[in-house]
Amino acid sequence: MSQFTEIRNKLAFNIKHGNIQGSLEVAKATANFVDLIASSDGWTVASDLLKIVNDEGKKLTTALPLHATVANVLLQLMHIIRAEYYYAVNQSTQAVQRFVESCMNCEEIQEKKFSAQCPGLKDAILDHIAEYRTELDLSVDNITEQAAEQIQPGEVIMTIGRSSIVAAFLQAKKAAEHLSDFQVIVAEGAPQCEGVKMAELLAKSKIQTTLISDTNIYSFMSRVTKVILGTNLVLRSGGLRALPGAHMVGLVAHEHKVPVIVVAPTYKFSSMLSESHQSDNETFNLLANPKGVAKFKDGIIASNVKVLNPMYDFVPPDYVSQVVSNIGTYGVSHMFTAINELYGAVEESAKDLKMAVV
Amino acid sequence: MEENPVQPLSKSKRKRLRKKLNKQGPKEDGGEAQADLEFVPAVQVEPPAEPCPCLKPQPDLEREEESPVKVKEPENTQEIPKTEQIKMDVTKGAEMSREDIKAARQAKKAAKKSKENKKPEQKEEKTIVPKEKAQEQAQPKPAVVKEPVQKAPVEKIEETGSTDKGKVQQKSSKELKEERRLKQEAQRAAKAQKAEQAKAPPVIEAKPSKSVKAVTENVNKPAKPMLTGLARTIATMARECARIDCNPDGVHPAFLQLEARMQSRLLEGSTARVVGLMRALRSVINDYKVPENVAITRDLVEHVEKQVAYLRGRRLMSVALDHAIKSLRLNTLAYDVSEQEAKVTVNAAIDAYINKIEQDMQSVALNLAHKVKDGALLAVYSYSCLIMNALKQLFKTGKRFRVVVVGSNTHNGGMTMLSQLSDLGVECTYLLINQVNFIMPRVQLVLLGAESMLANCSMVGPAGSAQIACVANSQGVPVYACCETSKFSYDSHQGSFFKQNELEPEFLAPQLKNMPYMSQCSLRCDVVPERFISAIITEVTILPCSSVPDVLHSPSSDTVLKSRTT
Repeated sequence: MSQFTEIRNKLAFNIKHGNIQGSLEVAKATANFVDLIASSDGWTVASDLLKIVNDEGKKLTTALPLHATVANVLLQLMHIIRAEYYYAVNQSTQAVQRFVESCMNCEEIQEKKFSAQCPGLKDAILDHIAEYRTELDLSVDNITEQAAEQIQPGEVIMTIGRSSIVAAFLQAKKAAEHLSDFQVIVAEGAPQCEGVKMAELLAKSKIQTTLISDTNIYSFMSRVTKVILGTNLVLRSGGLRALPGAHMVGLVAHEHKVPVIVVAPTYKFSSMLSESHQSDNETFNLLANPKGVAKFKDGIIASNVKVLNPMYDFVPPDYVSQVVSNIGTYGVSHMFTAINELYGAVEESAKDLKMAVV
Repeated sequence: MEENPVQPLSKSKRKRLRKKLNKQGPKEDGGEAQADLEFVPAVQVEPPAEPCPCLKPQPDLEREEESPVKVKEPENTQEIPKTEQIKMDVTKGAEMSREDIKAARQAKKAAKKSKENKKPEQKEEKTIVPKEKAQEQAQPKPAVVKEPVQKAPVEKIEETGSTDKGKVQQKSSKELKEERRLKQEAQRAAKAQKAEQAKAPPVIEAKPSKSVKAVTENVNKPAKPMLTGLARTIATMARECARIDCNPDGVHPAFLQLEARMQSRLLEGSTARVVGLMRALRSVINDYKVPENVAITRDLVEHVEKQVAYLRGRRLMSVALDHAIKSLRLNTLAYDVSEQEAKVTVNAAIDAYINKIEQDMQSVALNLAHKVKDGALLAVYSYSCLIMNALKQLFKTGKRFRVVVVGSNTHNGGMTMLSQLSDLGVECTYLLINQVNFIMPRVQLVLLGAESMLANCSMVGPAGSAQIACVANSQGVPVYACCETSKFSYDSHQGSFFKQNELEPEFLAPQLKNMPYMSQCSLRCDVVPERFISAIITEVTILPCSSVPDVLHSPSSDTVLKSRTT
């Protein structure tokens, strides 16, 4: 039982039971947790800190397998700690440059041990973590600032399900120019049918919305000029792990040559490389409770058959045109480099987090 | 009125009017003729249809600041003739009795003479009269609205009018404002009351059927935001769907029942609907009686067309149904045939057609057997009678296959298919259409039941077919459309927004249906482009999509089907 056990348990409880709602809040809470660890007295050298964060992180992610944001934030902060250590040890600017480059090029950094004593390291790390937390707070604003450029007047935009970031994105555009007359088509997004709530949100902001059934996506796509999707994760390859139906929307958009824009802040960027085979690899997809698919009253039928309710959908990078995030807009092919900057090389992050990265 | 009544008049006009009024002199009863003269419409109210619209409002314009006050003044409805009661309710605030005007004018003259007095005093004088009147109005108004003209208050005002001349009270501007406010409120109250009465007679509503109501409500659009683009398309569609071009009066109960079953999706799938239609027709024919002196062929054709028109008006007619009716060849019955013979002939045609359908289904099953290998994983979408039958046959002949049934949360087709297949003993899996990508890499072939095949080689199917075909195509899984040649249509359209496509009557989110800026749409049918379909399994053989026009125009095809009318 470490000193952080109780806090960690409380955090896991709050996230699991919905007291902390929304991926942004979850990200902030996790960052707070790491801040707490870093500002405590339990460590003197960087390797100690890394070990503590690793241990706590493992337990936290095991308790919250469905919240990928938690793992992402932990890994990103660990990379920050390593970077700060590296800067503290090698004061020269060239060394810093090398470090950054090596991350981007996916090379392993020379430093393995992180055990040298560095005065001022603690302060530097805490500063950097504070910076990270500010970035989290401003992430939605930074994204919505870009809305005005991305959406043109007279556009017909399609989306599926409910994403608070996409809603904020569209509302920002509407607020910025009252007369901008774009329309939004929202596909329902069975089985959760969150699209209904999304449509309500948008209509309340006086955006002309049309709610359609998922079965009509192909029919409406010929009239759509842009698709804007929210996502659960953006993978290193530029592909997405999104809600079910996103693949279909992306595919149909690809057929009709409609650009697909993904709106995702950095805490949704994942260090996972690819989906592996989606139906085989358990770390990619989960099968959820089938009650959304087959209703209880159909139980007599459903008891003789297999009812599947996969939680996520893989959207290949071919279908995605660009990713709008708080650090800027990236084309899909650049996602690999962008994510490397956040997490360091693949091997590093894969090594230290033998966490259940879901 | 040619002019805005509130506008000030020129001096010369004013003089002329004053002369006119003075000539006529005061009258005791304040008769109707004078009532017209003294007409002073209120600002908010539209001018009444007065006999002399050329009359202008009273020109009390020396004190222009008070003209609004004056104009709203008063509404003595006492002089209003009963016939004009209702009209006068509108302009209630506008009538002034002759006496009042006289009194007012004289008061003004007096005030003018004593012009050396302060301005507020003058104002007071004038507003005394209105104030009194305002008080009186506030009281009798509610009563006056519907009741006949009352004479009693007239005297009252006359008296007060006369006494007012002498009164010169000091009032502050605050009190003046108060008086004005009181008057305005009184007028507003009166107007509101009048509006209420106008609404009182109940609105007579027709009683539409439940599903129609649901669709008509979809048409109820918000007043403010103007619909553009897509929302407008949908609204137009909804309106067309709601429009009932048919009258259920002369329709046979069998058809009414058929329509209800089709609408509620009890009868689903093209083939099932055709069989249903044929059976309903049989009852119609059996109950049919030829009216006297009418050629049976013509009348019978019309009679049947009337029944069918009901379905057409409810947008339930599909290509297969159309062809079924045409193939009965009702208009080729001999002229001199008796009623009994005609009935026998038509019934025989109906039976033959139903038999043909059943045979076709068997043939499709046989053809399908070529494509389904043992141990294959098939995917089917929504309910199709044809495919269900085919799979049943296959299973009975010993082929073992597994099925993935893809459903949608808007209708129960998938569940129906699932229950029937699992009763058979087939190993099934069930998914929603959104998740079909999860299982598609494992599927060997996709079977889609077709509503019809269009002349441009695309397939019309239940909504969602295009998406499934698209996903299958991207994963390299062949897609087979199952369609008898009787469903090949001479029409062709592009895309799913075509006239005969219906909107689902139920809403996706009924709680949001009247929200402004929001519209909902759920199409029933989908057009699947040719490139997604690998082959069509018909009762004749397995055809590529491009052969559809060949079948339609081949010499052996039914030329009757080409005609546009029955």
